[in-house]
Amino acid sequence: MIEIPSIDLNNKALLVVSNTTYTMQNVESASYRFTGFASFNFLEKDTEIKIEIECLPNSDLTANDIYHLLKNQLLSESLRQKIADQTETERNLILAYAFSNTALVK
Amino acid sequence: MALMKRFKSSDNFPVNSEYKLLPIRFTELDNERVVITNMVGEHIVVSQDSLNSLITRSKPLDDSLLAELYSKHIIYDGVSQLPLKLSGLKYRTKIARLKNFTALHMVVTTLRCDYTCHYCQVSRQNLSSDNSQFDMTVETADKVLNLIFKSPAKALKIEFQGGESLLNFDVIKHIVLNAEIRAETEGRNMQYVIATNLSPLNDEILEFCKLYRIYISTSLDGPFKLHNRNRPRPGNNGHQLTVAAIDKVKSHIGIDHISALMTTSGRSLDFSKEIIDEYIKNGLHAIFLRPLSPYGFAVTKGHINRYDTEKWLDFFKESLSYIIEVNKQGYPLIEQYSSLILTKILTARDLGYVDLQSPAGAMISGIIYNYDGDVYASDEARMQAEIGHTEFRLGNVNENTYEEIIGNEFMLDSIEKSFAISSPQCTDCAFLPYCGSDPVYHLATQNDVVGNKQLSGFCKKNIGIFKLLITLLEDSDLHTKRILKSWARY
Repeated sequence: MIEIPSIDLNNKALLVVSNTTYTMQNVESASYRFTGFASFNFLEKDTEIKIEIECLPNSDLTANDIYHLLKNQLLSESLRQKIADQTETERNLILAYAFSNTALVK
Repeated sequence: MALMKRFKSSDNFPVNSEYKLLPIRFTELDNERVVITNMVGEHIVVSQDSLNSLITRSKPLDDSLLAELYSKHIIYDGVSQLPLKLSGLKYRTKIARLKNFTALHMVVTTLRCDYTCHYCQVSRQNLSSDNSQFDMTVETADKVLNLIFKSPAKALKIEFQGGESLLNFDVIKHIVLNAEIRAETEGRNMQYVIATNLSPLNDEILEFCKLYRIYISTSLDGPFKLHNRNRPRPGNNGHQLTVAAIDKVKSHIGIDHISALMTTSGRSLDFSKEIIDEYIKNGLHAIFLRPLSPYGFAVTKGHINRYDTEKWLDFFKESLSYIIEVNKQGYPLIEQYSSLILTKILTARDLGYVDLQSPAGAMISGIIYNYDGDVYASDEARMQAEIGHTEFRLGNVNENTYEEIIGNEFMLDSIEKSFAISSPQCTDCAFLPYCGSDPVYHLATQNDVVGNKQLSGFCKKNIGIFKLLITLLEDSDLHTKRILKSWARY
């Protein structure tokens, strides 16, 4: 008799996003926030990034919960990326003013 | 009215809607709102919708919000360099402490103690233990002093700890007297703190503390039943001795020379009001609400597992609410951890609290010398060493030079790896300017000096407090806001 392993359908989910909308860095940062609940695997191919979500044993969230939370989190990561891109010069200038005329920079 | 006539109405000063963003971070405050901070921690709370509009420019922002964003240096006109220069100046002020290097030097004068506290994080020794085995010797104390005075900081603080530090009062006297002479010669400013349960206090000690302006830091866990349960002592009179000694210090030296802190044991959680009332009863005007730390024997004895961070945050929230109520009724009482954080939130200052520093405060802001001359990066590192984790032992004053101790490779590597600004999640967190990195905590709890912040009790506790304080600053009545703002040290 062959034993068929039971599969918990709530345990896994797959999210596919366009890599023209989100970068791999966005995907990684967004996923990191749920590493207390699930493990992740990423696959980038052509115009897509596939995100495999697998819940940790005893996770308080289901894979479906994480699927939706991750989509929202991607929006935040995308906004963060926009801020970083728009403010690079200002960030460097502020640090330059902060460290100018100190013994730290000769 | 006459005055108003001299000014044009605000309609004559349109807010420039053609803005550029300054470097900012954002984090969700609740379901509807986000906190935005700039590089130096100036903050604003806006709706999620306004955040999207601010960054993507998808919808125009109203003038009052734009004006506030300009004033908080979240945005600027893209032309004037002034906002950049001011932000640079504030950033420089925030990190000014780094050039002073180690200012706080903690000296463990003895491991002996007359108490048997359940949550004690170090391997305290009984009073009957051999002095020569567990007390710091004068010879070691001299070498500790040599090391302390190698620090470039002009202002040095020496904090005596234990065991019960006063059980080796001779070494305290020796260090203070010699430090005074050296400070005079080298032009340093000295401050001293004795962390003590106060039971060995006598007139000689009081007189000495008064003469050398020594600050007393003691523990008061609450009313006598709770205090004595948490902090047992032969004779079951710990509470009685502590409050009597607090009175003596207050009357002999002054109320501004003593403070107390409490440690939250599992049984403390139901007594927030009673604990605070005990501080008021004893005429204290500051309380430090402290959770149990996951170090040393507090972990191996299982006390750390008796409650989780969420329960402690509930306790903190309830306690803070009562403290604010007490202030409203006219009794000034500061919660000290909130005061440290509010200073970071509301001013350009940083008080240098070791746990909330990045780069890590361990070794850079504070360092600890054990009774046997071993040097640790922080008090918590010493506690970890008591259960065999000696990673943060930097050396020994009898064997190593200052350069060898400060140049300890494991420590330097940990500092470099744990910079909050380069740690995953921390780097994007709006609370980064208020928070810190704690490699000792994360090595103790996750066996990794950086640590996964999703699993970090340090992160959960501090974000919980940041959100609570910002919510109170945002949503409370004027009186509450005034009280909280008065706790910031400008």
